[in-house]
Amino acid sequence: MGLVKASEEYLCSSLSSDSAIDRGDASSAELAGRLQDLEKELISTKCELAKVMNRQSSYQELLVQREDAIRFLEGRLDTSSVSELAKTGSGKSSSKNDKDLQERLRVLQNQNKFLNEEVKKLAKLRETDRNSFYQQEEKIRTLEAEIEKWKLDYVLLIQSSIRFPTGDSVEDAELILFGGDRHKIRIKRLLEEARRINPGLPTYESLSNQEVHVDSYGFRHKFEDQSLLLHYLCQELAQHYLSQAGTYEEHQKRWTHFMRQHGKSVASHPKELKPLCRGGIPDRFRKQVWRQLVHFKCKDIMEEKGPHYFRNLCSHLPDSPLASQYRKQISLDLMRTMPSNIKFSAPGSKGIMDLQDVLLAYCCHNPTIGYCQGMNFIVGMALLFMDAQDAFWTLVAVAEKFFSNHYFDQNLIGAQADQQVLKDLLAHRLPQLYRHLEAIDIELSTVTLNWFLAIFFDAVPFMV
Amino acid sequence: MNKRKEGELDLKIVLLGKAYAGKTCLVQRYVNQMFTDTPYQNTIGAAYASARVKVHGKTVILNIWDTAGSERYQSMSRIYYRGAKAAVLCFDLTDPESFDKARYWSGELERNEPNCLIYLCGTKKDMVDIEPGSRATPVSQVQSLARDLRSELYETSSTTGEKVNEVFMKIASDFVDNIKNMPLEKPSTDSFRISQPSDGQRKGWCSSC
Repeated sequence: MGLVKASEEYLCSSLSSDSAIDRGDASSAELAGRLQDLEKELISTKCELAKVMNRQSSYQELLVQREDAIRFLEGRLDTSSVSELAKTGSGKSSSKNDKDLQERLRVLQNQNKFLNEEVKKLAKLRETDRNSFYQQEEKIRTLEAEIEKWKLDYVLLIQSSIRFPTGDSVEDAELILFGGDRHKIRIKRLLEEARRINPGLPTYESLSNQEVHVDSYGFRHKFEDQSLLLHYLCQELAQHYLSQAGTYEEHQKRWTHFMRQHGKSVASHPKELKPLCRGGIPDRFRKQVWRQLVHFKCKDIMEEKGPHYFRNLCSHLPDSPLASQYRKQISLDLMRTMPSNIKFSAPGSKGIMDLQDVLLAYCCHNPTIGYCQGMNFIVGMALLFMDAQDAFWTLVAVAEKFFSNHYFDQNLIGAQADQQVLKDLLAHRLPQLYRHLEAIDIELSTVTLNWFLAIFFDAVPFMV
Repeated sequence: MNKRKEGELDLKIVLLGKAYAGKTCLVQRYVNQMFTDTPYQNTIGAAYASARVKVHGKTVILNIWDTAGSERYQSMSRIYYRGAKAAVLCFDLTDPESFDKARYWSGELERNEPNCLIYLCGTKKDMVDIEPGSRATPVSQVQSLARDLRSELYETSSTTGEKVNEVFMKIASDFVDNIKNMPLEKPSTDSFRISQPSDGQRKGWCSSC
């Protein structure tokens, strides 16, 4: 019932919305009306049902009493007929008594029959009531699902109201909404509601007081601008609603099922794994899946180098000439990897030390490649989910297995080759775009090089 | 990209210099007029920023390419500085190697982009102010390079903002002066304009996440 109330409130408040989402509001209002009617109907039906059930139980009680009485009388009849047989003398009076009793029995039997009919009728009535009750519940469920969809659409709509007035940098973004405080109030209310299910969501108040919100990956968020704050909250809400949606649940179920079956050997079932990964790896499985995929890719190297390879590399770091060659560049980049993440924002913190160890260890592992800017992002990302050793193997897998050996080399030959291939592909597959870029003299790789080198680290939102 | 209106001029500027010379800070300081305590991520490839300024009655859009300083990206730098009208060679006043790198870039530019004006820019001036001993290259040496390149020399601090605006304003005004002196020059081929994408095409802020 609480949910129904809340959605009703939500729907009622929709009535006061602005013109931008008028159409949605109209049908929201309609839904709210329907929902209210249904609810009223439901309540009255329930009352009715309760009354009928009361009546039924009192009838049943009566029936039991009557049956007791009948049994009692029958007993008495038996004993009296026995005694009558014994006392043949007083036949007249006893036969009269007998008649009375038979008369009473008949009356009681009639009554019994009537009451039985009544019980049957009531049972039937109850059945129809129950059916209509289920139907109503079903309707409420559909309406609630629809409300959830509206909510998601609403926050997505608000998110898409972002504008970049100077047109180029994220810092200039502003959210343009009409209708004064209306949306702020509504989003606050939605957030309150969502926080009951997911208390990890930030509150409007804390963020608007310039408090720092740390999201589930450890990234800090702070907002100077109120409207951008709303935008961020909508982003969080949308994420929340999606995680509540049925399709997402289905996806999660499929993952759970897959992990239960192949949790120890995910890499040997690529056919099933691929589509699952494309739908997104749930956070709770990410570590396990990444780890296994990396180990699978690096199997030969790991077997050759032995189980303590990473630890050995680390212990030799302090006096390794290979490490010292890159030590300065790496140390300059440590703090420039994920400055907004709490794990990587303090010098000397575990995240920073791990990052340094992994990058230096890699220089010793593969001196021909050494350290290349961009690796720090890959390792930082891996460290958000895995320990240093697995992050090391992730870098090995990326730099030597997933990419060609030349990808990160001294001239980034592999990366440059990839850019050329991308350009050729573009010319082949999207000739119009290719010709347009040629005409306005834009070099595609100025945009795409870092997508490839840091594996989209900065190019797509983090949770994707 | 700033949308160019009628009569506005496009100017491509490239920032070159050794890693950690403070190129990103300089651009961000100029574009956003602020310096943040939290460091910027190191640049891969290059980052783009733009600003619009008014000089001598003309509006100029500065298209600034902030390149990665790492050695490995050197071989790719050409795609960023190709067709640039101005280059800011950044070097860290406290790092001797970074000055050598600036010298390297000046040679590279003179070979490949002879029409590109060079602006020499020593960064982290505030650190030298606090500790004069930290200056890594003698001023005379820097000045002599500037003379050789017929380049302006600036000492900037992105922390305090010292001389940051001056660098970019000077670049813009030189650009406008040059155009005025050569009125017959055709519109440069490297200036470009992206038409406003229609709603369906533009993804922009990813709303689904």
